Amino acid sequence: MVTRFALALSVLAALALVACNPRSDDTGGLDVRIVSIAPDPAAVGDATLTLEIRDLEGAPVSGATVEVEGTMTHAGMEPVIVATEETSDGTYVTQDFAFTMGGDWVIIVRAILADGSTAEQRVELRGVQGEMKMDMNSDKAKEGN
Amino acid sequence: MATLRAHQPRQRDLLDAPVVGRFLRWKHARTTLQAVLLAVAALILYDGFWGPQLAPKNLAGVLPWVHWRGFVVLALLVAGNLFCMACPFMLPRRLAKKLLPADRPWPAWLRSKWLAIGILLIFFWAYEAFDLWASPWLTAWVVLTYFAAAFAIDGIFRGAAFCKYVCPIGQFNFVHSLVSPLEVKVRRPALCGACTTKDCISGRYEPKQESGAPGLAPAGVQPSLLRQPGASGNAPTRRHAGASALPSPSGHSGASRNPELRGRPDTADEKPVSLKPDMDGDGRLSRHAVGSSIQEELTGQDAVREQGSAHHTGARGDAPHVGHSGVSRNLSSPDTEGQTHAAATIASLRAQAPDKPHSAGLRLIQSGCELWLFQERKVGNMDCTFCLDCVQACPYDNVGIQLRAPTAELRRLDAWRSGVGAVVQRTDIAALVIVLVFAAFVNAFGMVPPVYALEEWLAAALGVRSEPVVLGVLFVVGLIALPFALVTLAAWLSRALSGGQESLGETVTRYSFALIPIGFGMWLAHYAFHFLIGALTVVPVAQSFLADFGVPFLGEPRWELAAVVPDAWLVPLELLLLELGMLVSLTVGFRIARQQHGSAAGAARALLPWAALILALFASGAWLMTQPMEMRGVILG
Repeated sequence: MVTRFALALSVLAALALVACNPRSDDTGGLDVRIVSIAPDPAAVGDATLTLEIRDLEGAPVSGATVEVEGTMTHAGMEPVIVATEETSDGTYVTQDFAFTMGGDWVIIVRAILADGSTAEQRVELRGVQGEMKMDMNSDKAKEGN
Repeated sequence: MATLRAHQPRQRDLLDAPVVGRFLRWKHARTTLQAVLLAVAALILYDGFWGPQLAPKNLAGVLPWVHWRGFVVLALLVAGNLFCMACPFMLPRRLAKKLLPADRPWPAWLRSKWLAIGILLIFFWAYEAFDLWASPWLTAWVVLTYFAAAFAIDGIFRGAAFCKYVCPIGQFNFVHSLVSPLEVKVRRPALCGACTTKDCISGRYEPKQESGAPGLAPAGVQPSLLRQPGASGNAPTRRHAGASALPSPSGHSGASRNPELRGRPDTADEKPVSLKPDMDGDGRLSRHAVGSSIQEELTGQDAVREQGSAHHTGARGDAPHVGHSGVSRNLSSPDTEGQTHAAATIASLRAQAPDKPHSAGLRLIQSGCELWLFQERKVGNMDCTFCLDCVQACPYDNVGIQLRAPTAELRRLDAWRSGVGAVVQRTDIAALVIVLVFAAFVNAFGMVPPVYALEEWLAAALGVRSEPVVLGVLFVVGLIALPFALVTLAAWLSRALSGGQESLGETVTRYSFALIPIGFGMWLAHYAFHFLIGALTVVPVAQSFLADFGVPFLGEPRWELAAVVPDAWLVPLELLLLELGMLVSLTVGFRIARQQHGSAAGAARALLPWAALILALFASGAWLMTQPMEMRGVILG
């Protein structure tokens, strides 16, 4: 009986081992930054996100077709998916983007580069304010990887 | 019996429904439902561990936190404890019962809801502190831990210890199913009075064919009765093989455990059962069915001497008496009452095969209730998992899933309930109720901006920046200290205003059940919100999941699919659910007060503080729902 119990525990331990690391997402070899959000701080409603896309050497990535998807960290919300317009070398501005709920957002940037290759990167945007503006959040909208 | 039937029209019963009823009567109905949810759980585990670590894109983010929670509360509202009925954690647990000893009694000092309350508190805290809703990986770990805990606990301990004493989901369902419209219940109580075998609790056995045990009669049934006309071995049976001296109300032939009268072989569990004390088949009855084992359990601290023994059935009318050999009949507790009956049946069966005491050749063909809810004495839904073992086990088709007034059982708080006792005497159940009621509001409070301001203030006041610590303080206050203070104050005022004679603790316990509807209304409003705005998100997430395996399904994932109702409906709908909860709470509270104080005026005075608490909870809920929602994780950075 002890053997059976040990066997059962071993199976569980094996499961635990294979599951010990979550999958990391492919960053696509690009450096994507949100350089500005209007309004600032980010709040529910229409918003304009300005992105800067550079390669690993720091050179701006031009001529790409860039799509921006905003989704929340909580499941169950319809994501906001919009196109962008390149306003200068490596700088892209979203068209018709809107935050539909306050809270933590993830901005997913998908790019089809001029050479046809694709890349995707995620940027966390925490603390988008709800409809009721609160001073405590004024320094909360921040970017990061 | 015909007279009995004529004067007791059957209540509306889900088992009589054309399609659903037929399905639920099927022997493999529960296993089928469990298999479906097991497959869903497997998907959650796979995607949670190896899928994209973004909750809205992962089945482990969508299915548990949007769909499962919504289905659970909606099922409780319109039907009953359907999740426990289809619980996937019970399939590995069934395996554990076969692989592992499962012969230890659950420790007496843990035979209450306190452990489950502790786990619930930890879960509610962890949910916020580690943003479980935002982490598919952690969600998968929670699910895996659940499987492992159910497997280990029920592999070590007998009965359904995990469901009854540990499972936090089960406790949530048990409490809120007290206001559900369906109840697993005896159809004709008088028929149970004449039943001597109590298959609903002891399970049904039949002799193994190869054993050749001649004419082994079931406990308490006279062999002569088994051989009555119409109960022949060739008589067709619908599904039961239980022995009966009684005419079957559903037309069963009364085929028996007697090999001469055995029912259809397709009803048989192939697992042979031996009656040797240290051996078993199913892992529940036979191993500890002998008197010594039962006595051992009865010496636990919750084994209380029961007042009166009328419920020890088996000696009513002209029915033969069950020989409770080796079992002390005047010792019974909520937990052990069913075991007493089970032990009596098994002991009696053993006594009929004295020449083969340890290999009587019986095999279990249907388990009885593993949560020790003896149908004849069962009241309400507390601790009932809707597993339908009792429905399957009863040879007289005398257990149904009956429609009832949703709060009907809250009028019977003083009634002795098999496997539970009188809930009005169970401070642990009252504490569970209170924690769940306040958790409904604290959980929703975690999603509106004022909580962030409170966290910032608290962090500054405590001089800490650790979010788990700050949340820990908030949860201790919100789920323990504040509820304790409020219900104690309400009880004190209630006694002072009405001149009530009950102790403060008894008053708290009694009136806590009036809070269930308002708490359930809040859970409904919250989880229905997530479900209604995100029900269709499972479509693109499933499309994306399949696409990862190179299986395109209906084209590109349709991420625009999400809500099933317009946004404008949500707040009115949430408020409606909360208002319904408040009104039902006030009604239940008034009924409780009337039962205690008789006059309407006295009841009103007793209810007043509790009504104020219910209204305060309603106001809190309404305020929360009208706040802008923010789904945030890290607050303190």
